[in-house]
Amino acid sequence: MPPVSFAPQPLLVCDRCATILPGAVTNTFEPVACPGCRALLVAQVFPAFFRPIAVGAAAENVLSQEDASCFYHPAKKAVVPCTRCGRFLCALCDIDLGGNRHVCPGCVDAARRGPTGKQDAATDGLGVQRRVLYDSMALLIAALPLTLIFWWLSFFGVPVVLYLSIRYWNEPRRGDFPRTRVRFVIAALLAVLQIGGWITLGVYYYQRRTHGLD
Amino acid sequence: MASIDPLPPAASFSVAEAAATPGKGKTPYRRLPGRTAILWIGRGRLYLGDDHLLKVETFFFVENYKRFAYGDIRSLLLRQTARGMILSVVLGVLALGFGALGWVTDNAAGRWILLGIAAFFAALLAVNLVRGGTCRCQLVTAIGAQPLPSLNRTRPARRALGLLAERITAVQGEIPSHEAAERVDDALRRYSEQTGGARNPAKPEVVPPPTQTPEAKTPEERW
Repeated sequence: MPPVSFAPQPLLVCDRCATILPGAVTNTFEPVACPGCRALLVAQVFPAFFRPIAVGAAAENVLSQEDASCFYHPAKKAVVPCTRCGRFLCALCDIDLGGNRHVCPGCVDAARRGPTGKQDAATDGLGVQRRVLYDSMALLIAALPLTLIFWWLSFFGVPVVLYLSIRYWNEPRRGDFPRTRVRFVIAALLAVLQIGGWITLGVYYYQRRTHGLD
Repeated sequence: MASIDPLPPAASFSVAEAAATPGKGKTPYRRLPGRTAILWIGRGRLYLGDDHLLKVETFFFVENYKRFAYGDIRSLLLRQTARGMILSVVLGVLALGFGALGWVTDNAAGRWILLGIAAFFAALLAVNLVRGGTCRCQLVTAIGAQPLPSLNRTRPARRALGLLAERITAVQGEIPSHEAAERVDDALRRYSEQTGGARNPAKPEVVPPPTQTPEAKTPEERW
């Protein structure tokens, strides 16, 4: 279904007082007072500003017995099959990926979850949208006990730090902004130092007890 | 409807294939001036990609990415705010107050402590003054307005928006300022007619008047 442009006009609005800004404010590249709140504004509009806004396609109702219906909306007319699973889709359910590829929301969801069926935390199936900084997390957990206020965190923190460092060792190198693994290295070293500290302390007290110094 | 076979394994299909994968250890992005930081908890940055602007927001240990294709950005808006001036006044009053208290205190240790606190606030004031005026920026797409919190100081914000405008212009083409003004006014007129003349703003005051036509400069220089 071709996109339909609707009546709303392209309007530039002051983000402080919501006053609609006139043309004199736009593309001057000098601060201009907002007619509503007198705040100084610099605004630039681009050709896309005047492009009509396309509304999403609306699905047509099934009118006769011959019409194929949408798998997800039986009352709606199917317009295209999903190129992955073959289900018939109405205009509402059709996700056009370009290159004559049309998929249904179920297939997009399956692609997001990957072959394991689990939700991938790092991607939403359309490229990386979020990243968890496990290396920073490990470094903070390893460093907090050194402040002495959180010394007790060392008991639980050391295994967590070692787990994070091993499990997510390659994680910093991924994504659009690769990081070095230096945080993992420092965190692991701090964790090993804390283990060494606990062992030394244990041996010290053990020797004091066995030699009757207590 | 005929029975539907169960879904085939998803391994054969991945929308993520469409996303460009950068080279190992390299980033295809150029960092824009300006940053926001809330202690160690939150950070924000903007990056220029080949065909899109990337907004990165970090909250604790999670980085969130938002991408805006240059072809979809409809307008950029910068509004100067008084936040920096108010902060300067507050810091100045604190620095002067603690300085005055330190000056009149007889106790030597107390004097040094109070003067130290005054020096701390004076240093913060100096940093605030050096960083320049404050502002809020936003970009507008067909979906809505998106705030750009990392552009909170006028000088780096204008530099960043200039670089961004250059990329957008390269994709969308340029629209002369007088034509843009006319078309915005035209849209406003049509809107006023539709709504019965509501919210028809007065002619704005231009401060200061432009000394050179924007077309004489490159998109980057204009901001």
